[in-house]
Amino acid sequence: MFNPERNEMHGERNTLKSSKGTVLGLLLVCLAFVAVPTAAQAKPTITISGSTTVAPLATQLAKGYLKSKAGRNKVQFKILQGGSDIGVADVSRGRVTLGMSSRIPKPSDPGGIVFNEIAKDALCIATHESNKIAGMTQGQVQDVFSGAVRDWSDVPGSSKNGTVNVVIRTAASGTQDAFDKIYMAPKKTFSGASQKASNGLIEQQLERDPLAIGYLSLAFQKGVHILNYQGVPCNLRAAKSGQYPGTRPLFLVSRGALSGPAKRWVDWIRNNKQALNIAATAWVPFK
Amino acid sequence: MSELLNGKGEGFRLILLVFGLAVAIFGVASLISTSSAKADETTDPLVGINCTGKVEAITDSIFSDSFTYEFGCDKDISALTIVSNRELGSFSTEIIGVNAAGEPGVGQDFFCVGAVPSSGFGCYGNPGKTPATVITAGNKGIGEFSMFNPVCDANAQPMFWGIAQTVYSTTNDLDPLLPPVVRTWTATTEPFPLDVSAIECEVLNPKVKARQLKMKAKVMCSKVKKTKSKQARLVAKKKCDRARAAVPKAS
Repeated sequence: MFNPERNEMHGERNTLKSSKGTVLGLLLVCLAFVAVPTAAQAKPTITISGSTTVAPLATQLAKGYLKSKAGRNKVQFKILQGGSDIGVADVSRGRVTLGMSSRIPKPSDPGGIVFNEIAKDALCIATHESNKIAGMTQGQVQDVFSGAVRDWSDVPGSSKNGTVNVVIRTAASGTQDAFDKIYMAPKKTFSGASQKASNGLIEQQLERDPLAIGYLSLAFQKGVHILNYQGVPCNLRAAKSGQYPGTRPLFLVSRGALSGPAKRWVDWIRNNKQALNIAATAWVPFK
Repeated sequence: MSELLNGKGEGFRLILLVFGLAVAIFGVASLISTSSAKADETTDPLVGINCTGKVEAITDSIFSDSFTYEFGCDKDISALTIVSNRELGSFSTEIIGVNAAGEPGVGQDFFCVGAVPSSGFGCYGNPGKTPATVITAGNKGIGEFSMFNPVCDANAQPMFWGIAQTVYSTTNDLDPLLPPVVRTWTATTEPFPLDVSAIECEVLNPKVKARQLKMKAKVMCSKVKKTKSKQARLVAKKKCDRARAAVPKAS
């Protein structure tokens, strides 16, 4: 009297319809503000995506620019995220105006893109607040992060006993790339390490896990213990003076040479006193 | 054909039988499909999503006019939108779901996107991830934003609303003759207000108010010299002093 197969197909179709609806719904809810900002539509828009390290700086610089004489009522910004590799891929495909990157160019990057440095950031080694190790040498960092040392009792200065929980960033991260180059080369990070997609997630992990160790951008230091590296404290003063060896440049990546509103914004970031002051709050300004 | 039409052939009876059966089958099938659709609708377990949240000032932020917000719902949330009657100057591009003890939930990180300046932004989990990223029921999503202008530079108290989205499935296995039909639904809350009691402005538009009070004091004080009688001058002077005292010192 009835055809179960037909009804099953009917059910599948419903599920398909609903999942289409889900995606549409998500897009509507989340992109509503990307699509319909309050400012006039005629203004040129600078769209940026990429590094979670650069994002807090870029959003503050965008706000500062919009409040300044140079940028007031002249431009608007759309901000997305995703990691340095995403930012580089997005800009090379023309999906965004500028990609945010916290790593230097890779040979595997697509051609035709330009890395425009806007500031520097210090990469700090951090542990749980209760694990107050004074500092580490490069050798010790390599031993812990490569998995050669697996117990806190073997780490000089640690009051903890138990397995070291190494927390690193995912492969798409510029911070991971910078850490590999600055701290680890030629060694590799431990394959059993827990991988996190953002600075915020590493910070959260270090806050809650007394046996964890990881690395963070200088701007993310709430509720964690920051270690000295090679005898130098990881703070803004040491980073600005150039003493701290774990600094890396932050970039806004463009497709070809900078032009138009994006060029004016990056020029403002690099030269305007107000912009340099914004960068100086938690990063090393361009100059 | 003419044989069939005048009802003399067996083929005609056969066609009538097949046609009659077809009508009966389609009739019953449509009745079944209507009743199962009704069953689906009536078995939808979601009666609503209840969410709460609040906005508080960040006192130790290196950036001015910075605020933290948090929200929590009684269903798993797959996306969230924050809207305001103020223009926002920046927002944290990631928020993380934490439990009551403040510990982050695994796989509960949302990315946020939006325009700057604008009246809000949207945050979402990764729908392509398995399992999909959600902030689970009972956990709180926590993020930050900053105002484009000082929060009290407006004619109305600051207000914020959240709109949350949940994705859920229902299984219709009421009819034992049918295989269970799984349906995925998306539901969105009505805008729910975030508690802003911690950031309510004592004085709205303080600069404009101060300017108005200064002007008023100037007018009052100018009357002192113009008044002719001694008593009227004393009264005018008192009014002038009162008006001057009302002007905020910073202005």
